[in-house]
Amino acid sequence: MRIVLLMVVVIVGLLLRFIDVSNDPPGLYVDEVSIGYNAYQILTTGKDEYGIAHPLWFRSYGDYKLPVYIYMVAGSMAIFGKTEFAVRFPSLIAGILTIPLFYLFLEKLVCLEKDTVLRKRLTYVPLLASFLLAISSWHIQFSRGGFEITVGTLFYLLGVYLFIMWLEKKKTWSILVSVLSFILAMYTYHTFRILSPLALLFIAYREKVYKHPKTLPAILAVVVLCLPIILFTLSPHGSERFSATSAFAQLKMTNIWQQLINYPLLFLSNYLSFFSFDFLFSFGDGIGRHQIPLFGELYRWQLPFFLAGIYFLLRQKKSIIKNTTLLLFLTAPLAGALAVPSPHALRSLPLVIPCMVLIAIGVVFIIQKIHRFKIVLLSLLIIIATYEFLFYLHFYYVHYPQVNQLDWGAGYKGIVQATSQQKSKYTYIVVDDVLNYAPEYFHFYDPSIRYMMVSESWQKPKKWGDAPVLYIRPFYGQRTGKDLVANIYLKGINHDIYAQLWEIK
Amino acid sequence: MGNKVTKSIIVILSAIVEVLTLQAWFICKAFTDIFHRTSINLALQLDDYIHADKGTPLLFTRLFHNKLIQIVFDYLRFYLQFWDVRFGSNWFSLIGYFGIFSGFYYILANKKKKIYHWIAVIIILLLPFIEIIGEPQVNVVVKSFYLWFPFILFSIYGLYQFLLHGNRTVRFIVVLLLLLISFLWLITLHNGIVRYCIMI
Repeated sequence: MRIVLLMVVVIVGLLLRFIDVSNDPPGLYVDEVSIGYNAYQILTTGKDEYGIAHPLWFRSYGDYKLPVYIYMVAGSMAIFGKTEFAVRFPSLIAGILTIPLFYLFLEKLVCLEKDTVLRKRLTYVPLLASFLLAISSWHIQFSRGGFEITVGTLFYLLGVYLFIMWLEKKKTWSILVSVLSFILAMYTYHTFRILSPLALLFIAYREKVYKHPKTLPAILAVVVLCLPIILFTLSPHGSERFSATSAFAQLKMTNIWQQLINYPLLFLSNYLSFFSFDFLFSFGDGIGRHQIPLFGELYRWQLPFFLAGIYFLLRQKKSIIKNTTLLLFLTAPLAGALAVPSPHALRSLPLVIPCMVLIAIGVVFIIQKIHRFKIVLLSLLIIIATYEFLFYLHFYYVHYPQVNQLDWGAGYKGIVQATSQQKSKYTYIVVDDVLNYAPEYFHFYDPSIRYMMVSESWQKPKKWGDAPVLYIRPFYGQRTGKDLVANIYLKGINHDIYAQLWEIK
Repeated sequence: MGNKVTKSIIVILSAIVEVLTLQAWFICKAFTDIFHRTSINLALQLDDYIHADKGTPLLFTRLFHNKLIQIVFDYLRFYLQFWDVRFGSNWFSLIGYFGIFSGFYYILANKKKKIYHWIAVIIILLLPFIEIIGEPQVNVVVKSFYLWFPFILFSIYGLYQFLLHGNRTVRFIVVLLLLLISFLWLITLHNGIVRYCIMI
């Protein structure tokens, strides 16, 4: 019966992640396009966009991307071709696989629970928590976009799960694969460059590896596997990302005493912001790519259960589920707190795992506490939860593609498509550099287009003579004109113009 | 280390740090719009949502974009602002915020709850509605009497309860550490109130 229910949960998760994924989110945003282009280059030439053969770090827009996701997209492009779907496919699959893995992880934790009464009370938590993950707006949002963090979270959870398995059965393969998963997560997304080493140090401490000389070769292997990313992190290229997003760089303090006091406090302030109710339940991080407007990272109906889950866990004395959940809960925002803006839904995606456990425990324990009107209250809960979920779906499929299309680079694809149709008629194609992401989109959708980026005040050089020029620029207010080649419209009922193609004679 | 005098000294020190947060209440003329019912124009909000619903069956539009739901969501948003860690750590101090949640925890965990426990919990939970529904233009100094003072009292109760239970040495260290951080926070991160306050 449990297997059937788990399969239903996975199918629900699959449908919520797959349906119309190529069109909603509405368009590939610039990082996805960059990933897609590099992956395609790797697949076809074995080199990245800068001509480096099978690189470990991919240079892209002022920073360097980690390799795992790009190579995965190269694999998915081998199957699906150079499409939006192929760019999002690894994230989708990772998002779906996280659901059954999460179930197995919780099932294992419950099995290891020594308190038999507590173990019995927790029986339904794994199934409920994995269902909550399947319908979680936070997890759905990142599974449906080409985000490396979704794959990283899968590896990270796999690492934790296999480590728990190691605690139970002491099978060598489980600890080896666990460590490898943490290392893979490090090579997948920046957040795990902090979280994975912490997890590895925790394992080393917990297993007292320093007392066992036999583990030395394994430790050396881990160091060797981590060495490239450690060296990369310490290099100027690797630290570019940190410098660009660092919370501390913004303070611009040179006095060491000021730094000693202010940096930890700023870190703490950022760290605490990840637990803010405003972030979790009502507003999210305010970044359009990360959430649906009007929604936090968790559903509103989950708030009382989230608090109840924390309460019930804190009431337990010695419990593996308490320790593991609280450890994951408290460590997940550590990497995100080093950067701005804080809170940040993307960088803290691993937080969704302990949050779902807390909510599931809250639901189960409250239901067990209620003796009167149980059916009525349960029905009420289901009605409210279903309503909010439908409300979310309505916003996701109706409002989001219209309201947040600019967050997803909407308009750029239209520019490339219109330019592709016109390119043969023009000797020169110039693009106003206000459309600064245009090069990435040209590379991805039509690399055959030859263009030049020009400033807003550009004028046709005299040496070009009468050669026809296609001038691509943002919409500055003039809707029509005899030299207007095409308007690029945004989706939605307003027919807003995003950009225009003009002929310059 | 666990005697009554030490405990009282720590609680008094915490109270002093919490009193220091009053400076934020005294330099503010009013709270910003993020708390107030009057800051929203319901009709305009609904217009905005309905506008994007073209082509959607009317039933769905009515189901998802109606006054009742919008009011519930807006009020919840305002209400949660009061319990937000960013608000609490600046307006009641970090240790004060910790004390408030500790107070809730120990009242809930108390198997011999008295009627005054329930009254305290209900009052604390309902107080933010005075601000949400009431007059936003009332001076923040006046508000400190009915918003700041009860919360701080509750927080001191919570801290005292926290020190009474569990491993006392560890808890003393936790509270002392929080005390130090709260003090430094009030000195260095005081600009965190900007989000919530219209300065005098």
